[in-house]
Amino acid sequence: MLTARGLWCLIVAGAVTLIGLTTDGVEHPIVAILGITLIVWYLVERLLFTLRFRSTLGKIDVVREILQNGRVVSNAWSGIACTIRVTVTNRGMASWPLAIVMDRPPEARKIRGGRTEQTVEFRPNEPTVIEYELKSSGPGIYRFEGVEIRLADLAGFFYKRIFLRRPVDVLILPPLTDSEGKQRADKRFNVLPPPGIHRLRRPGSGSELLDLRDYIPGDPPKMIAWKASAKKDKLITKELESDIPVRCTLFLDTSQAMRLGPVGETPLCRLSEVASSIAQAAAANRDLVGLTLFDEAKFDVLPAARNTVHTIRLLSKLAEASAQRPDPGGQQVKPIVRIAYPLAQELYPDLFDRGLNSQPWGLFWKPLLDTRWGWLAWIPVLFGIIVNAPGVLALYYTLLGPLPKWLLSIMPLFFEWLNFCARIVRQRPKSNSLLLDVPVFLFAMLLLLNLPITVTVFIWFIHGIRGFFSPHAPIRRKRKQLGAIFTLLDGGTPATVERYIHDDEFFAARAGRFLADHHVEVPVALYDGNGRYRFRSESKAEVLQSAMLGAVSRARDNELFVILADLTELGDDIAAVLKAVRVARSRHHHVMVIVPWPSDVPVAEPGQAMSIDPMEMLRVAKLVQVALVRGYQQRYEKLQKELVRVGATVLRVTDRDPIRAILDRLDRVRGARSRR
Amino acid sequence: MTNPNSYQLYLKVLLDERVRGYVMVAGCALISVFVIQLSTGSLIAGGIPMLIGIVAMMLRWTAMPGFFVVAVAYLAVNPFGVPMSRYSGGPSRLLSSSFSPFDMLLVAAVLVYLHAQFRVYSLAQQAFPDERVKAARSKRDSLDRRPPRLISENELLVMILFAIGTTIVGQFIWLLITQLEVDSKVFPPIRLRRFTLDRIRPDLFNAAVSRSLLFALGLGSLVGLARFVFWYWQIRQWNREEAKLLLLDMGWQESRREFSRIETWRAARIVDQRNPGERWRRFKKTSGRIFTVLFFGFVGITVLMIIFAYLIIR
Repeated sequence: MLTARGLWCLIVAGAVTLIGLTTDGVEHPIVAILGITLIVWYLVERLLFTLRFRSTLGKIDVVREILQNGRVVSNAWSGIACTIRVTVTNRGMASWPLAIVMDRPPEARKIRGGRTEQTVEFRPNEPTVIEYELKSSGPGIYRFEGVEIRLADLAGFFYKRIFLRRPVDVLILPPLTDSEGKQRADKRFNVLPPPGIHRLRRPGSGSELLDLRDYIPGDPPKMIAWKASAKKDKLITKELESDIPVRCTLFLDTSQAMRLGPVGETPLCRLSEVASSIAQAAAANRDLVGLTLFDEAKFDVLPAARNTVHTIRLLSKLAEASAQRPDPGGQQVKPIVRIAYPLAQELYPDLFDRGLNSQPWGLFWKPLLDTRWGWLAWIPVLFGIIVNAPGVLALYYTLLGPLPKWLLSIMPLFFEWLNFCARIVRQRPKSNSLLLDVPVFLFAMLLLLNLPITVTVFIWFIHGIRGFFSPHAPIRRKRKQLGAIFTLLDGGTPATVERYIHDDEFFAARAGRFLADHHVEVPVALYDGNGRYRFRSESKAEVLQSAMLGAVSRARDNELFVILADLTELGDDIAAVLKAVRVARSRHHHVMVIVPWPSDVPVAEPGQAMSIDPMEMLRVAKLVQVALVRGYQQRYEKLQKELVRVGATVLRVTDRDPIRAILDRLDRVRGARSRR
Repeated sequence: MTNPNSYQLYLKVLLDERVRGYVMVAGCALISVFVIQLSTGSLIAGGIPMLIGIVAMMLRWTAMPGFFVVAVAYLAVNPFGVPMSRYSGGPSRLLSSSFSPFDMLLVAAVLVYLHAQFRVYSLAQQAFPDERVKAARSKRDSLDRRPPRLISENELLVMILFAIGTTIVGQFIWLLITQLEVDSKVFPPIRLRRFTLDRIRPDLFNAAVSRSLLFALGLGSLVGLARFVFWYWQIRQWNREEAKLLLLDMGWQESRREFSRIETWRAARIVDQRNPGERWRRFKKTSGRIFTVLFFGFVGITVLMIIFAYLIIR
């Protein structure tokens, strides 16, 4: 609470008062009066500050609104700027003369306009409004943690920071598109065509006329077009449009590898946008769209449907999936504490109070021996007892008389030792001064005999005291404080706090989760301790297989399965996917695979060699880069070959318009002409 | 890009029409201090505090107000800067009294100056401490200041009145502690002061000790009471999380030693399972060395002692 400025003023005031009161008070009272007046000033300022703080704490309202195109919305849309408006109102009685009210913007999001903080006089019932603009390039989540208020007095003696935790997750939905898969600029919110207008260009039993054709024996007589038959002089049959829409199931890969990259620009975000466009275009054509999210361990199915609520639900799921961040994994304690501790201090300043989150001295003491070696400590202790026992017994004998019998019977060893010492004294070197010589000799003997214990205690002390200094003490303090907060958030027991202090892996995992919960970026380790790439997950092929087989078993007729997944990394481990595709094709379903393509990898045309400057090839880094790029391209080519062989179509996100290609395929599935 | 903490911007804020009032008040207070100190007959007594005040204002040295107070106090006792034998004070000083108008004026001027100076610092230099770690700070980061637009119309007047009021309270406290004295023979051990020479009354506390005791007693009681009230108020205001954390922390403090043993053991087992032999290697690397030196040193010294004692006996 006290700032450095306030502390120095207090020290000066205290010193002046002390000097004034204890010295020349009668002749020169000015020193004492000045000191006392300064102390009074300090006390009054502190009293006022604390009164204001306490009387208003807990009486602050925070209202957050998200505005897009001038309207208050519950979800934001990517690609469109939205305004965040936060209204903070002091409902208490006292006024804070100086306060900085700051809304904590979402992590890793750039502020496009406005300010996130305001310096105000925080008066009762006078709202403070903060407005700023955010824009996200991709789908995801805006995480708003709450509002921070920093308070100070006018002289800068006292300072307090509080954080009003009001966590809100706002979904950033993928952009709206029309029936052609293009983003609409004119009319944004009406995605379905008007009633009666549809494009189901497939013969069926609907009510709209599709075509006229020659009569085939067996056609129902009511379908004969009599006027056309009369004109042509032969029987003509009417064909009506089908009322049965096409079903399209999207399989979106949300595995760890897909989450790598800057917020809003990950492969997952890009594929989510593609999935969203397909879903909206299909919905605009009255087709049914389903979504299956899968990762390395599980899959989540959203059954196909075509109403507006379903579309919004699907978009929400895509936004939630896009917001997922990769597991940092394999983190060391120190680097993760360096990120987690300031964040916790920022968000939970009240839980860092020493009265609530204590740090006793014993926390920092470094024990010399492990508990299993603790018995060794008894060696110097026993040695000390043996060495000093004769002296203690002699003192006892001198002061209190003869030793008790029980002591004599059980401790003959001590008496042997006493005799031994006595003999040493008797056979001491001859000296002229007996009175001086004997005590000095005894003291020297005592000192020498106690030397091992003294050395032991000294080393024990030096070793233990090291724990109170850097680097041991700061990391220990931070781990304890963070551990207590984690335990509180998880509803754990005191034993868990201690586990966070000792178990590095347990602590690092929880700290990583804490950061992920608050959407804070953590440097991700791409390779494990053995130098293996951590994000190559073969298991997702099997999960995808299970999801596809499930979808095939639920499918009705010709359906379209769109797999949006990073299968290139799998290399030879795509047997499970191939098997699932084969099963789908055998049931006459269509399968399309869309793979993300890294922006720094050029697209290789078939039969085209990479042109590289020979001088560049001399650099090892360039050589490695070329090898990696070529390897990736080869893997893609192989994947394409394998999938095409089983009847699937493979596209890259970099291809000119994958959405258009999928919509064309939908048209083909429903039997209509291509949109081109 | 202009440095937000540059001296030019500092001067610009000082010349702002709303801040100018504070600068002028500080200047007037400094002149008052100069004049009052000058009445002691020494130019140094008035000049040095004024110089410090000007430096504090113009060069934004935030430690200067502290030096200013020390300088005023020192030069009030030793106007020529050198400790001299018993200076009897100015002509208006009323000996054997607790009140002096010059003292009061001087204290009021000092207080007004300090008020104005610190508020100017908040407006032009820094109002909120920077809580970031040093590594994250940059000299070009804008410090949090109080915007001049927040200065209200009657703020200056309130500040001066507050300073005068504080001075009167300070004077009153001084009067109180000089008019009372501690006497261990009576109960309660405080009574009105009898104007006798201390040396003749050995049973009484020395006047300085008595004053100090009374002030400490009063201050301690007041601060203790206030702390108690605010402590209770704080507890009343705790939210659910704070209360839960307190209980958790108390439980942890009580059982820390037992859990520490278990968790040390568990952490060691995990390390052993993951990397067999790693713990032993680490132990050898750090604690092992200390332990080895300690153990063999202990054994060696013991053996040496026994040999030494044996040689003496022989």
